[in-house]
Amino acid sequence: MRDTTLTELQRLAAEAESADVAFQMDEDAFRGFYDRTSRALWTYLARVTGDRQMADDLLQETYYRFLRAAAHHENDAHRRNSLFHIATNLVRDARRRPVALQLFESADVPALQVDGDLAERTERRTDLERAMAHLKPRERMLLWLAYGQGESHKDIAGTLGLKTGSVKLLLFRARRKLANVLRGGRA
Amino acid sequence: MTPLECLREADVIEAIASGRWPDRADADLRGHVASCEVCGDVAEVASAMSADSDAAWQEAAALPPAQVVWLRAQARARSAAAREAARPIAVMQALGLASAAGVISVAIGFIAYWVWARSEWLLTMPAIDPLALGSMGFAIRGTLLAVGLWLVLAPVAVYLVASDDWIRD
Repeated sequence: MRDTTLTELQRLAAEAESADVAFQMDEDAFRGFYDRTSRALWTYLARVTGDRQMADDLLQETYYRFLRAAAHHENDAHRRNSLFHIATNLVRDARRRPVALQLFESADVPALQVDGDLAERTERRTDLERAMAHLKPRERMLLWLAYGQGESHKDIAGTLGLKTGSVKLLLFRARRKLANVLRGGRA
Repeated sequence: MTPLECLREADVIEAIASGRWPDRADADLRGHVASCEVCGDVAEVASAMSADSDAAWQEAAALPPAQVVWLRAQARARSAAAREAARPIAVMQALGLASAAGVISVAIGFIAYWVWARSEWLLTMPAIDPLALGSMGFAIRGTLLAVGLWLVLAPVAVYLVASDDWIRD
């Protein structure tokens, strides 16, 4: 994860004293919202792109675009859906850029040499990463939102820009595909 | 035909989320999962994802604090606003160049017409060679073509420069 140095913080704070740009929420409200959403958003970005560094960059970009959007949100759930919708579009855009393409095809993740439960968990996670690399980005998004984050079909539809009715079928297909790969079958 | 969902999916997900799956789950539920294709897939995928979600949650503990993300966004918004403010100047410059090009072409057109209108009178003058007048016409046409092209291309070039600046934001 990218480090934030004290120097950068001081520089940013000094710049911020000049004049604040109006965003859709103030700093205190943003802090609460960030604390409630940043971890879930980062894990979503990291698992969908398969690249932690890219997830760091996209996280910052997502919050920037969210703050700059002059959108009206009915409640916190709606606000959170908008945030994930922006993140999803950014992942799609990043995929279209040639430099990012390799990030979505990293099927060879080396296993760590550790013992006991940790080894089992690491192996299982590595298996999942390899299996996820066989899926299309939208399938990864669907599955992570449904089973990694426990989102409802309605929220998944809102985040991915799909009709609620089609989530069930798409999720079924993606789940079947991933289950087959995890069991050692063909995608 | 395989059904898309099963009524017991929620039970499977709940057992996984609570850490009861598979050892401490009801024998009835385990029996169902063994025989139900949908719940079998759900158990396979959801248990892998749930374990990975816990690991990812730990990794995400080192995220930058909200203040840093806020300040970075502020800094970026300020620089975007500065570029936005500079854009009308670029547009005005493009318009100025286009207007100047227009005035020059109109002037050249008038001069060309004036020369053409008086060509007979010019021909009566012994010092003017008709062949030289013809080549002067070519020169005027070439100049007009060049000015016309410039008139079209200059604002396009300025627009592209300005829009590229905008895209980088």
